[in-house]
Amino acid sequence: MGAVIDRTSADAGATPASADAVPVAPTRRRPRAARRARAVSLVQKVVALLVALLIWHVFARTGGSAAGVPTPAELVETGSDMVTTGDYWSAVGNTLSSALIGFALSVLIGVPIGLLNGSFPAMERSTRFVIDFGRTIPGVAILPVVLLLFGSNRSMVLILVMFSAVWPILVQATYAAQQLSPQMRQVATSFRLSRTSRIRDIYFPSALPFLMTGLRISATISLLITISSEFLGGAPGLGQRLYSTLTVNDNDRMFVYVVTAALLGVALNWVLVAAQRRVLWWHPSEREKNR
Amino acid sequence: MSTSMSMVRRVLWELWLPVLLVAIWWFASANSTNFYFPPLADIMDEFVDIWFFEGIRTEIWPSVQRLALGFGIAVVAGVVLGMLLGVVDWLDNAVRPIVEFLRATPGVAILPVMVLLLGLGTSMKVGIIALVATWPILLNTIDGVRSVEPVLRQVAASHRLKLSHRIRFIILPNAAPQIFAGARTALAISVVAMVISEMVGTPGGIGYFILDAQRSFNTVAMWTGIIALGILGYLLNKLFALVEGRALSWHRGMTAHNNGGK
Repeated sequence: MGAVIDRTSADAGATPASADAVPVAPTRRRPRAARRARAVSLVQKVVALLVALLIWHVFARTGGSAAGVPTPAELVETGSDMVTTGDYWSAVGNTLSSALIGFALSVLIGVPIGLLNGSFPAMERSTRFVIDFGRTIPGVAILPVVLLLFGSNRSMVLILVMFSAVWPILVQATYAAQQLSPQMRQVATSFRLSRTSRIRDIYFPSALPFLMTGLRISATISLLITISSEFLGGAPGLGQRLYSTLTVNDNDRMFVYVVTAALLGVALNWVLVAAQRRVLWWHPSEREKNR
Repeated sequence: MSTSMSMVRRVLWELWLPVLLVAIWWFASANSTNFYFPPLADIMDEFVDIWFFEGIRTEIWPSVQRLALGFGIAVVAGVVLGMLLGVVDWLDNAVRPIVEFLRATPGVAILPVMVLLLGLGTSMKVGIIALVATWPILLNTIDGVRSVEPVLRQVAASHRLKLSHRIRFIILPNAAPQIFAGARTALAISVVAMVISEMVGTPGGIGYFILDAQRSFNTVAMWTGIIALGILGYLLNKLFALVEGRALSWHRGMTAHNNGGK
């Protein structure tokens, strides 16, 4: 597949019309040139990162010093002290487990309802307004109610996470059930596929891309709302640490928690992208990337 | 389906469940003495008193202004930077890890940094909205710019179109659907950021109103605030859909045409 695409773009590059816009394909044919291109790309990335760190350092020494922004070196120093403490890891663990449990509960609720919704038009029409309304309410709006009912603990966090993360999964599962093309249905009928084969070979693969989209959005929201509700509601975890270090002006530690939260987000995203590539390798959206 | 079904029937189909749910809430809470769930009738009385129109002017309008400013900054920054990165390949390649890192960072984690740098006032609230809303728009713009068909690029090159014309007639129209998709995601995050920043920052705005009502144990007022915020979120989304529908009507027509439809 990749070879075919490469050739077409190389052919296009050979036409005189785009003499100045030579595509990258020709360089890819020779392994040495490809290696060089990769090295250049890596150098570009490293330089950009160094420039960003330099800007940060200069800012921390000049404009940010009044606010107490640590330099990257100071941050690493504080961070390396903190990562050896159990206290730090308990905050990370609390946030991670709350986000994962909340996400799992959202999937358990959202997928069945969404699939049912997509399969029965009458149900979809009846619930349309409720779902439309529910997903546009910012999840943190109900934080005060949940805080009153449950207090500053994990239940509060989980309720908020579910209330925010269930909608994307539900909506995507609805699409998934709706978008099964009539041709595929007809193919299944004319080949007289058995029920299991229908589900395994037709329904499941065609639903999967939509479900994956929903899962990715919901997982990101789960982490965001977990940290938000810890921050605002005081449940134990990274969010609560961010709040407490902010209020006592413990900037060095606060920045370590900020970077930790960011790294959690990056790791989550990385896992989701990898999972999507694994289960959707056959889908056009993924094949494009492997060119 | 919609042609065979009259408008009235469609509306009835969509409305029976919400009406039923509200009715259940209304009657179930009618004689409620539960402190946390006051009767809906009381909430509605209070709702009219608080929000029409004093509350809209003093709480919601400032919130919406900050949201509009922050979101507007994000749209401009996201589209301009996205076009730059979409056109200049080496730059995109170089800063991609940094962009991905910032994009994946949960917005609240940046909030303490913004508070540290900008304080608790309006600039922090607008700043955090702008910051979290920029990334979805930026990344979608890059993808949109990249998705311009090679043939169109070649046509532009062979006609030696000026850069400004290329942007206006080729890149921007092609990327517009993607940009709107990004902006829609960004709007949802912006509203969350608006509420959180108000809950943390200086008094004022609907987020502050709700949290303040909860802290002073005024549950009726708190419920009116939550309902108002829900309606605001819904209306903002509808408004966005309206703008998107207008701006992209040509695109929908074109795709329908290309697919052999209407």
